[in-house]
Amino acid sequence: MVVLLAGALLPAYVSEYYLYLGNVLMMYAVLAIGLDILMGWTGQFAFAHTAFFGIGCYTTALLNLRFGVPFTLGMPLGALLAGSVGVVVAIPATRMRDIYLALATFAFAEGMYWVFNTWESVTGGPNGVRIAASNVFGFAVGTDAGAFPVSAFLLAIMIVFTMYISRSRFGREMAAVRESEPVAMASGVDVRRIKIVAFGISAIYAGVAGGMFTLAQSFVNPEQFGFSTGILALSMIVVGGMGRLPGVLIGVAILGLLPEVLRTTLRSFQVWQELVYGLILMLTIIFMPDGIWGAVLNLRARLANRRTAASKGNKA
Amino acid sequence: MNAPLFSIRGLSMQFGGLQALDDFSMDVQQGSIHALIGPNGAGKSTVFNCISRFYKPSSGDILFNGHSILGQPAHAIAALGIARTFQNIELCATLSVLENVLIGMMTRVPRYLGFLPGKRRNTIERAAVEQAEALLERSGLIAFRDTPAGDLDFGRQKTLDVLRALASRPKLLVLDEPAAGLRNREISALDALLVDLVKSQGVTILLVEHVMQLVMSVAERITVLSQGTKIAEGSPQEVRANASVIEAYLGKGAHA
Repeated sequence: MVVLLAGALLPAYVSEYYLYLGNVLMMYAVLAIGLDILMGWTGQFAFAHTAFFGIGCYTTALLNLRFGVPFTLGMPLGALLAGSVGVVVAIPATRMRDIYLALATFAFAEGMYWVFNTWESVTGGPNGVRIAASNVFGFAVGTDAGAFPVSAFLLAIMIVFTMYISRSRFGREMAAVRESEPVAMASGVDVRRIKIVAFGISAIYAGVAGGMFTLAQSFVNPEQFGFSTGILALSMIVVGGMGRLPGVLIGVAILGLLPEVLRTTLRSFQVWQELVYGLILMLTIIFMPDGIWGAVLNLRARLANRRTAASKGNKA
Repeated sequence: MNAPLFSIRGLSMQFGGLQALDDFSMDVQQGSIHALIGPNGAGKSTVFNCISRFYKPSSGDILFNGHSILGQPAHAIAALGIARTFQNIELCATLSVLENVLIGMMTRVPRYLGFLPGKRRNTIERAAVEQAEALLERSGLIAFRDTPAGDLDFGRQKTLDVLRALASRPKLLVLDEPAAGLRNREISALDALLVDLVKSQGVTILLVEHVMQLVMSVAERITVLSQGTKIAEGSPQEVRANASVIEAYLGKGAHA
């Protein structure tokens, strides 16, 4: 609701720069929530997310540019393609676990990166392709102000969908798979099926995020879908707190805004960017292994405990 | 005697040159507590893993309600009405005690729960939570309802494992060495819980166990396995008096 309201009202009051920032953050939010469904909820350390992000983006952009397919059709098609490829990748990938799963999916992501780079007739290769203004229900959307409400609407839908999944039996099944596959299996969970479905759903989120990319940007090249984007999305969910929606959104806000804040305060920030990310990631893992949101929840539980202990003490 | 709820027919299992199980058969009657015992390496765990479909036996069959379960995938066993526990504790460690019991209830919850209208979803969720709380109440774990399962002590984790299995309302509950590592006081509590279950819920229990104390006091019938073959079967008194059991189990010259 808040997201929708903000999407409707903000463009009229806020400068173009903040709208641009908002669009980027909302896109990252959808990307990171999708990654969290696979990693944080289902516990599968897969690194193919950027590939699905790229598939969604290129599909939406190219359908629009070459065939004039409107965003309202192109984006769902891109997400659907990303989801389908996700399921196809998941079928062999879910036979593996831990480091083998990580390596195999990383190899797939690098493979797709190579495809984006070399399939010049379609993707434009390393030079990239221009993104035409998107057509959303007959309105041409080519500016940050135009994209903002559409992004907000999409983010709201994805958040609501995430909440539905988490309340569903599927949410509990994913948690069981993450915590203990033997327990999950003994409790009647088809472990492999859950992993494959989680993979597919996660890839759909990445595909939607790819579509959102085309709304406000005018140009796309393979660099967007390289290793560093994958690490950024991973850092977001680790820093914010895996497996919990508020945590992911906090992580997106912090790691998404940080470069902008540092750029205005520290001029030579570009050089230090990677270092600062690494430092934040390390400090989080050491001091807040459950992320910022996990630390908040912990603190709250500890305070509640102290309060009940204190009230018991008073009675005695 | 009625047709058995659960029976193992001529089960054999070979690992390379090792004959872990040789033509093993046993019947478990509805509503009974039946123990399968034997010294280390007798093949108890092999039987157990065949039942839970982690192993595929070389030959033989396992029947539940008269139907073979060997064609079923491991995850379908729970839906049939067979629940199991784990010898080395397997829990959802970061989830609360309540969540762990709810995971056990999974097969009884509609698949698309989250997408049902709010009112119906709440009714179903509340019913599940109430049932889970009733189980926790009965076993004395209710005070730990919101504690992460990994923070419980060993004995309570074992109890939680049993509760999780029980939450699916199984017809047959197969327990894998539940008493291993428990203190005497905890074993008596487990005894009481098992007897209570059979009486109040009519659950049939197959107890795969090493600790004699638990088996002798709760089991109505005992099957003894040694080196992959059945060497004795009968009531606790009969088995205790059986010479070959004493020899296989406690060693030559030992007295029970």
